[in-house]
Amino acid sequence: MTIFTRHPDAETLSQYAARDLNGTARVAIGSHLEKCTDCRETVKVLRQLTDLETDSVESQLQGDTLARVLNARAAGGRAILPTADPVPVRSRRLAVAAAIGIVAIIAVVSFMSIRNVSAGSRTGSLQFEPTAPQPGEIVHVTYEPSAALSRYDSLILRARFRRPVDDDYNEGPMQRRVGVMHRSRGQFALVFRLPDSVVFAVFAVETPVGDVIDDRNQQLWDLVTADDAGKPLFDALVQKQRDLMGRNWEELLRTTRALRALYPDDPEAGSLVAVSERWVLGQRIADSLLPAHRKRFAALQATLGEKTELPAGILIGMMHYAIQLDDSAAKRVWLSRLASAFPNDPEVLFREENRLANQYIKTQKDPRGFYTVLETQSKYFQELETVWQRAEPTHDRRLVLLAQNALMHAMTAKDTAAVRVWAVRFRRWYRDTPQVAAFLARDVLQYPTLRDTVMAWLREGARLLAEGPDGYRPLTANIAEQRDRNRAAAQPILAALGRALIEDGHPAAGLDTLRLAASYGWNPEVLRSIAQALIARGDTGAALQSYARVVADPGTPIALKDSIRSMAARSGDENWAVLVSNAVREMRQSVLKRASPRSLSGPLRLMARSGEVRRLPDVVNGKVTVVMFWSPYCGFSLMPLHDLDVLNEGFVRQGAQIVTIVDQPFSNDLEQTLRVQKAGDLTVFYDFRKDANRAFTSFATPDYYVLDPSGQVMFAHSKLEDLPRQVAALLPSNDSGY
Amino acid sequence: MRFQRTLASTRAVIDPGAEQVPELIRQTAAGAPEGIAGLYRLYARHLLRLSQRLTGSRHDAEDIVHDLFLGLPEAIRSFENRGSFDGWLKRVTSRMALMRIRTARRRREATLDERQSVAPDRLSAEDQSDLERHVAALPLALRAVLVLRQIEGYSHEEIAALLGITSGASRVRFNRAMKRLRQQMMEKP
Repeated sequence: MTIFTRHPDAETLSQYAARDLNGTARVAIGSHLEKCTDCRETVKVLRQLTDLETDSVESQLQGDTLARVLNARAAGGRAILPTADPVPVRSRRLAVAAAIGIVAIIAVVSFMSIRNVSAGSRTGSLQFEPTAPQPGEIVHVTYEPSAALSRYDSLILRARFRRPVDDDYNEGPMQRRVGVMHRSRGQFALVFRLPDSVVFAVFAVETPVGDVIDDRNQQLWDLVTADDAGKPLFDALVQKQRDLMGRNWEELLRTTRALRALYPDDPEAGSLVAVSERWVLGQRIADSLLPAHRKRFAALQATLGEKTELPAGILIGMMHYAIQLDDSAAKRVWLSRLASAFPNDPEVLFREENRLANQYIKTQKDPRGFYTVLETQSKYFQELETVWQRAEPTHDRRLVLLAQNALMHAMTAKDTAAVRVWAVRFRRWYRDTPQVAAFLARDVLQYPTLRDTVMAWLREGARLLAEGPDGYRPLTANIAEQRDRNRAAAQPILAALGRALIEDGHPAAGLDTLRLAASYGWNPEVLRSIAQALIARGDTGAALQSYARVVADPGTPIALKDSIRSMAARSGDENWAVLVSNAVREMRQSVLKRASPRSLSGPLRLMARSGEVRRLPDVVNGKVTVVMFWSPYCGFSLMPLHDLDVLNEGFVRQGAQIVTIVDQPFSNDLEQTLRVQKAGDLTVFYDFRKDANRAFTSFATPDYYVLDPSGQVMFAHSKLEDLPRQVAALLPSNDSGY
Repeated sequence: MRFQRTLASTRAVIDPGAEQVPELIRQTAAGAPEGIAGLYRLYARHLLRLSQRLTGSRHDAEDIVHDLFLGLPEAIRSFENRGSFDGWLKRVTSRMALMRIRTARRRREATLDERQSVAPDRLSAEDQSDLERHVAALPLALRAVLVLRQIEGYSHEEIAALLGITSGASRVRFNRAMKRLRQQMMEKP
């Protein structure tokens, strides 16, 4: 018989409580319990714990959790679950080794498995053979159609092909039609040859007339090229990461981690992980991960520091990694090695531009923290010229950064000669988008010697948008949607062209151009230009109609409204009130026509200044709400904070509100930033779980959204100047505040 | 075997529609919302309870259940009808909870003020029984073992695999957890 000379351990008592002990042991424990109050109490607690299994711990789920799950799936949301059975750990050393291995495997497996996830019944299934081809290889594509595409005999496969030199984001004429897929036994098939220069591609399927698209719920299908052993190419994963910018940040982070797992010795991979972590996880979490990065960087330094001859890519990777880790000493060392070994590398030349700017451009920080240029010495442009002569032959994508910096400095200095040189260079190397013409038109048209050149650019941009070449159409947009986008992009181009034509003595052509611009969407500035042109022509009646629209717009400054009203009064037009009232209706209809309602999914928790966690639907609380994303580290997002604070006062009077969401935790520094920006009264929430970031797919700051009273997003990525009319259009008509 | 007995004894609670489960699994694997909704109705509450006990946070528990059902159609293919479905679900849920705890712990180690963001997640005292409150107050390493062993009925070998520790360490932690729990109950009944 077993005799317990001391208290049995918890496991034995647990087995006793569960009646799992055999006879002898059970009797022994029973004898002990007769004498030991302490162990009797332990058994009692153990039984209570077992009973907890069936008790409730306030286990009611939020009623909308299931709806959120189903909505998220319908929108293409997925989660990778830890389904694999782990192996029990034998020793600590083994545990560490296993953990490192598992992290690498999870990163790669997660990355690879994403490509094979079925997107559900709303989309079809696109398969590639081989699944990871080499550049230049023949690829067999089969497509099992979604319900929406199943009745067609042929479908079109469209793609965005990416080469190693392609840039971040997906702007410009990057899309192309791969070919026609024909039906055969319920499936559609196509064979094509991947171009030799292409390392990564994404695909969508659409009808022959481009009205219905299967884009895998906007996630697209991707093809990552690999080497002959099947290992994804480094450049392929870098291009995948660039392609995901602005469309799926979390997948971007998974991609960079997969890249690092596959290429642990390449410092660029580590640098990309570090920067992705900051973008996706936020500054605070990224900071907590820095020690591991520093360790990794130190190991790379130890290995690579000794080697005398290293490729440019490795030297640049080490420099980038040092920058991400804020290690300025290491950055200098690796830049110096790069400059010495590869003096004409675009990275070296771009850093040379930075050095010249520091040396020859004097700046001053204003009280709100923004820099103003005090003096730009001509030596900046003189010495930059030799840098450019070395840089331009490289045809590298970084040329545009160099040209952009130089153009900005030329404009700030109002140096006509320099603007003339750098505007042309910037446009030559900037991605080929019509929008760049509008951007340049705003600031460069004022230079008489550049006027004809810029007008030619404007005409070219307008023509391009009118033709709507398919290369500019994103894979996720059908032809009708792209036509609307092209019109929105064309409006500022046509407006600038119309004004320029009038100034150049062509009033009729200018007015026609402005009217065309006005037909592309509500824009009070264009309407005002039309009114001015009509007044100049002596057509007061038509001008007043146009002015009434300007007054109807809630964003028009009060002083301008007053001046137009007094002009209308002088004209003696008795219908002015009717004109304005009609214009208000017209404005609302025009603005609402551009609304794209979208529900938000996910838990959407935000932290208030008090530390209280609130959900966005509770914050919206039945009000038209502007949501603005900002970051204290982004100057562009700090600039509008004061204007928003002022704007909010008017919104609150009308029953609307502005809510700002910051990507950093509350701190004294953050409060100080708000005070300095004169925005202390703004409602600020911290996106502590990145819920809002994910739900809105907000990828930059500042970023504005307008929500209707039910919390549905009506306008996404709005412009600051559009907010008043978008809010007014969503408010009940008698509360619009005119 | 203890593990089987515990699951059998709780089947009535967590598996009320066992006869529907194979069809719901098939529908879920095909991505059908009806399948996901059916499994959700059968299991979500229990899995929320498990997650909540392991993480000590209502918000984390809701996130886990949300993410679990979000990824279920793809993950369910690895179930392959080996063992009970509810046992598989619980294991996946436990792993997700433990991964979340580890991530949160790493963040806390790096940022001292993280507690401020965790505090609002905690259950209020009136939402819990005394015993639940004492369990929730245990240190994380001890709480995980106690919940998995005594409430969920896992063996120490299974706990070891889930937590990345040895089965001996699991037994030691279980012993310590019970001692600490009793001590807490005596100090603040």
